[in-house]
Amino acid sequence: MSEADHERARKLLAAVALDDITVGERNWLDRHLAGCTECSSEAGALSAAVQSLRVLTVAASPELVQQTKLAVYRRAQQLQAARSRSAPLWIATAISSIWMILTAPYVWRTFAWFGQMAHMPDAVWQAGFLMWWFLPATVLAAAAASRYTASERVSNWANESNWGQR
Amino acid sequence: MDAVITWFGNPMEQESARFVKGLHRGDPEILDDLIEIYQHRLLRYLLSLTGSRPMAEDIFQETWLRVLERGRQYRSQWRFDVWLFSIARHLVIDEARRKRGLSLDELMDSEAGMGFEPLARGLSPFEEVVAGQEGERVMRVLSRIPAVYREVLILRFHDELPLDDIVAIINVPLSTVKSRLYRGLEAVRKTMGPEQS
Repeated sequence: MSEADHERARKLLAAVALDDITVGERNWLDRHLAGCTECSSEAGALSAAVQSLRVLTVAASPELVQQTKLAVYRRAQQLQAARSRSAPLWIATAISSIWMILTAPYVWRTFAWFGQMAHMPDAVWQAGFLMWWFLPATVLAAAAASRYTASERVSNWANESNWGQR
Repeated sequence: MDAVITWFGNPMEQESARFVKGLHRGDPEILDDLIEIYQHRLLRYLLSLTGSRPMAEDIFQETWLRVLERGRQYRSQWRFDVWLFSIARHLVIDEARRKRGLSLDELMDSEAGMGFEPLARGLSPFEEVVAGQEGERVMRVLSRIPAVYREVLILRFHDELPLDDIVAIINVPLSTVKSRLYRGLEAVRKTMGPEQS
C-alpha cells in the first residue's frame, strides 16, 4: 500500500465521521482498513474521539446561573421602568397628531381668513399654518425620542458594568 | 436565517408559543426557564470559542441580557438555540475587538492557536470544568487545537446540530463549515496520537 492510499484512508475516516462518504468510497475504505493495521487503529482512535465529544460534560455552576437570573431580573425592571416613563409621551404625541389631522381644515380656513384680513402674502400665513400643524407633535416626538435614547444609554452603561462583575 | 426555521416540533408547540410570547414581553420568568434549559449548552459553546472560563461566564451572562433586550426581534419559526448561539458568538466577537482589537477570525486563526488564553502548562481553565478522566483527556486534546475547529466540532458532535444550523450560527458558507470539520477531526486525530502514547 502506498502513502497516497493511507492519506486517502485518513481523509475518508473523517468523511465517515461526518456522514459525507459515498458507497464506493466506503467499500474502498473497508477493504483498506481490513489490510492496514495502522489506519485501522487510527479509525478506532478517531471513532473514540468523536464518541468522547458526544458525551463531553461541561456544567454551568449554580452560582453563575443564579447571578445571571438576578441580572436578568434587574435589567427587566430597568427596561420596564424606561417603557413606563416613555409611554405618556408617546400617547400624547399620538393624541396630538390625531387632533391636528381632524382640525386641519378648520385651522387652514382660519389662517386663510386671518391672512386676508392682515393683507399678508399667502406664503406667510401658509408657513404659519404648517408650523402650527407640525410643531406640537414634533416637540413631543423629540422629547419621547430623547427619553428613549437616555434610557438606552443607561441600559448600555449597565451592559458595560456587567462585564467585570465576577 | 433560513436555517433558523422551526424551533420545536409539534409536541412542544404550546411550550414554544409560551416562550415566544414571554420573549416578546420581556418576561424574566420565561428567561429563567430558558436559562435552565440552555445553561450548559451555552456555556460549553462559549468555552469552545473563548477557551477561558471567566471570559465564557461573563459572556454567558451578557448573552442572556441581550436575549431579554432583543426578545421582541425573535420569530417563532426560528430555532431558539441557533438564535441564542448567534447572539453569543457576536458578543465574543465584540469582546475580542474591545480587548485586543482583533476580529474573531484573527483571534481564532489556526496560527494563533488557543484564542484568548495561551496554552497552559497544566490543565487549562477549559479543562478544569470537565468532569471525569475521559472528559479531561478530550478537553486537553480540544484545548490544543485551534478554536475555529473546536467551535464546529462541539456544535456538530456534541450539540448534534445539522450543518445548516452551524452555517446560520457561524455565518460562513457550508463548504467552509465542512472544511473546518474535516480539519478539526484531522487536528483531533493528530493530537490524540501523542495523548494516547
